[in-house]
Amino acid sequence: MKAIELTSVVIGVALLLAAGCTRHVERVVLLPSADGSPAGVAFNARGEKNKVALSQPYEVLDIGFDSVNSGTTTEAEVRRRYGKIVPDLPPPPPRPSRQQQSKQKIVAAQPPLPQQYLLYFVHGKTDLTRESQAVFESVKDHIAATPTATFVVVGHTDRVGSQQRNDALSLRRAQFVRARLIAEGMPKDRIEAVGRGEREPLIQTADEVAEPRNRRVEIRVR
Amino acid sequence: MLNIAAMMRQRKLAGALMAASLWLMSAQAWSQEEAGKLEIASGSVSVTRSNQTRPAQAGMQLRSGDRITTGSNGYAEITLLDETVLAMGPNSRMRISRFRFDPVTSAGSMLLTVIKGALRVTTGVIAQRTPEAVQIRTMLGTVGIPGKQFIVESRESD
Repeated sequence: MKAIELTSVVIGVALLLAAGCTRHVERVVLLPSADGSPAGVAFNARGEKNKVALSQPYEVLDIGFDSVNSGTTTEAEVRRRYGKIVPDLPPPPPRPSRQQQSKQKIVAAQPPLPQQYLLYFVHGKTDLTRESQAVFESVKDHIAATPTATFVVVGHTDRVGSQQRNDALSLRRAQFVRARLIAEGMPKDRIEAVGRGEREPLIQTADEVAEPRNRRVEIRVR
Repeated sequence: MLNIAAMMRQRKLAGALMAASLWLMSAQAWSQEEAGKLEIASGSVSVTRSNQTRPAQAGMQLRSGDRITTGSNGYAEITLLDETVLAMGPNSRMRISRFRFDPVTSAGSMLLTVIKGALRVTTGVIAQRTPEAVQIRTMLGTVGIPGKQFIVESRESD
């Protein structure tokens, strides 16, 4: 699985009442990324050439009509100010010494990624492998249990054959799974099918290598 | 003379109307593009599309061009097609000014406009692939995601 690098940022735009006149102010806060990977944003004030970058969690830019001030804030302050829109944040990226790092295993908070299922195919065909039949059944249960969720069926191939052929095959695989779900009574409008060809192999291989684990369909819950 | 002037005026008006309707049509085509879904809508949340504002419920599909507004007790959470997550606090308004995403190639771009209030953005696939294609505009400027490659030069001047 590919790690997804997420950047989280809060952008606040407010009108402040100061001594009888309203003043428009803005604030940009960089939040820690869900997986602890480095993240950043940059602010480009209107009419200015230079950008101001934020690269550390809880760095803040306070922006007014004629000023941009940088500073830092804290998780508590961000929560107080923005309440519900702030998700459960992972702890700030720890920077312990190497010794400490080897001693304690740092477990990052699990980002709320969409759930997904994997179905595998027989080489060059749209038939599911036997193990995947069982997974297919749990997908059906999931769809029945979550009446508001949308399901995206994403087809993939291994790297045998041309990209064009694989684009078509991956889409056929996705459409096959979608059609089967619909045939079993799942609602049409909640299931989408897309094909991604050989672009996103689960296992990296050279071109023209047959790899059963790449011949798959992912079902993502949105 | 008066009649001619009136006719000219009429023609001008017709021309302007035609141009305006063409522009509207292209704007329409542009804004039809599906952008994502309203996942959570609590308190008062409304969506403005083609100048019509309607109360919005969770599950509603959002399109490029939609403006989303929350009231004093409102909270909204949106997932865009590239898995960008947006959370809006109370008394907030933002617009999905432009959103394009091709799920096959993962190519796309987005421009969000924060009009008032607070918006949390957790970037998705577009920002991961092409950070420069993600822009969030405010009245005073633009927030962008810097690319992952850059050059830092440090040297003594001659």
